[in-house]
Amino acid sequence: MTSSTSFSSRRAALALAALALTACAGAKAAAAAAPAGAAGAPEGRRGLATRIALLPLVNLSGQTVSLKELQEGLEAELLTRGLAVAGGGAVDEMLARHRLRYTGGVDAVMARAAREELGADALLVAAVTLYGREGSHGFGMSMRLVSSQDAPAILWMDEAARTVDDTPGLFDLGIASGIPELMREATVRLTGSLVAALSGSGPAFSTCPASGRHAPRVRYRGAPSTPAAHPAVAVLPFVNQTGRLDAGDIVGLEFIRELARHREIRVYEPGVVRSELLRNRVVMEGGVSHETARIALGAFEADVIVAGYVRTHEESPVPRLEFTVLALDTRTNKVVWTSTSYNRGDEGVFFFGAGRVSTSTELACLMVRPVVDGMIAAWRARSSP
Amino acid sequence: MRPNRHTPSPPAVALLASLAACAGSSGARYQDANMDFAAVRNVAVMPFQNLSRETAAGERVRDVFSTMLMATGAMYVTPTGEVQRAIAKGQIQTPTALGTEDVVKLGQMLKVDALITGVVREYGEVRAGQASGSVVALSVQMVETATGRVVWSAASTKGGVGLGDRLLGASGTPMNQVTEAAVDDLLNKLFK
Repeated sequence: MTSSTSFSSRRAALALAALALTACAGAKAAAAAAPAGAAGAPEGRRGLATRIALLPLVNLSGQTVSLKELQEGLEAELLTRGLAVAGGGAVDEMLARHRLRYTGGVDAVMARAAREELGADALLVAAVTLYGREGSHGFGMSMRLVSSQDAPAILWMDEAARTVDDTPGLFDLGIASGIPELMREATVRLTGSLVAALSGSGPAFSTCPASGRHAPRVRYRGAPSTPAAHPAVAVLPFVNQTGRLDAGDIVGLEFIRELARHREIRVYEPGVVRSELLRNRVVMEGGVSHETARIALGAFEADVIVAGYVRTHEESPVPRLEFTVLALDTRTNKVVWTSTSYNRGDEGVFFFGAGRVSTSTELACLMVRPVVDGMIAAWRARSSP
Repeated sequence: MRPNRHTPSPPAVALLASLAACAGSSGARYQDANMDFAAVRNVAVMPFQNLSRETAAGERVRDVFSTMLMATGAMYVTPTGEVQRAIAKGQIQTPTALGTEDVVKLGQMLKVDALITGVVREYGEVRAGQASGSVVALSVQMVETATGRVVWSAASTKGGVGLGDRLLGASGTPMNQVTEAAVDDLLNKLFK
């Protein structure tokens, strides 16, 4: 196992980041006044590792999005909340120096560069997951905080997604004016969640309510051959068989967040997994194979790899999602979980749209949770004496 | 004249005819009497041939079949990615229609006792007046990898427009549930 990605190190890093937040809370005005890309805590407090590097946003929505505007809004919000942020030009220069193009994850090279060159103790990865102009306009964003250790660990992860008419309320007062308002709402909510997690007043990993209606109808479950107290899990890219771009990445992110929520599971940062797959020249054209499992075990000692296929990912007129997930024990090459899930946003909705799921992001969360809960229940049963 | 007691009334005849027309067919079955199916522990499900208009039907049905077969606990199903890798490595030109040599070669590469091949004959929506329903028709074969012989074969058709759908103009059972019913029917035939 890679000790630096262990749960204890994740907690330690989160505690360190929380300490940093406390330390720099008073430096809000100074941080806000600092130039973009060089914003940070006062020099005297830098030794406490107080900086977060904000990576350029990734667009997984399949639509054209003005990322620059969103990035600026996010950076401003982080600064307003008193966080010391390295963003804009400084991060771009660092990425250019190391020829790092992929900003949807953090690998060891990026983590080291951010730590040594920007003085950042964590990196913030943000991805636009929904930017809908069809039907009800919607916006969604996923964010995660990754430590800048040599083996980057996910410290916090959350997402926000909604459509303009999710909650119309009395006299339609709850209807949003458009996507810009939804963007602002998502930014405020996610940065608030980050600050709450850092200060210890909020959860490090959010989730959605458990829903039996969204559990997979067809499933097989087994248990890893050598149950570990804290099994290490790598979520591999899901094969996208839909017409929507990056649908596999979105479902993969849901699995990462849901797995990371369970304290006994150690989840690898997807940037690390991607980097290892590239280094070993693994192409998962038809899905996960035994060779992939061997590499995952050899390269980063993952006990279990999770992968799958996304077959339907639609937003309009009703969110629809269909995916198959498969978990493979890397030591025996045996499947320990496989299930197929299919749901629509309007299932079980009879009166006044009550209970309707308005975005595919929310639907994905509802569908992924029972899958992960089922997987972990099987592993717990095996590891308990 | 008083009608014969045993002659059904015209509405009853219409009702029975509707039911007969709407009911899913359970299809035919072949099973090699000399085959010891208990010895089949590891199988690989090959890509299904798709004769329907829905482009992804073969993969969808294969996926449900693999998961449900594995969920029975009677057989271990090799991951789809591993099967795909063996097909590429073994340079199998038509994985949906295997020759005996290909079956033996794949059996050795994948270390499985049998291969499952299948054909999705129909997959999609059918309409009858104002009503519509989902229908799935598929045939599946099990081929022993040691000899390349077909040891089991079955077909199933499920779904369609039911009486309730006709009367209420409803859209019927979702496609996924119909697929599960068809696969369940096939598995019943395999383990019967």
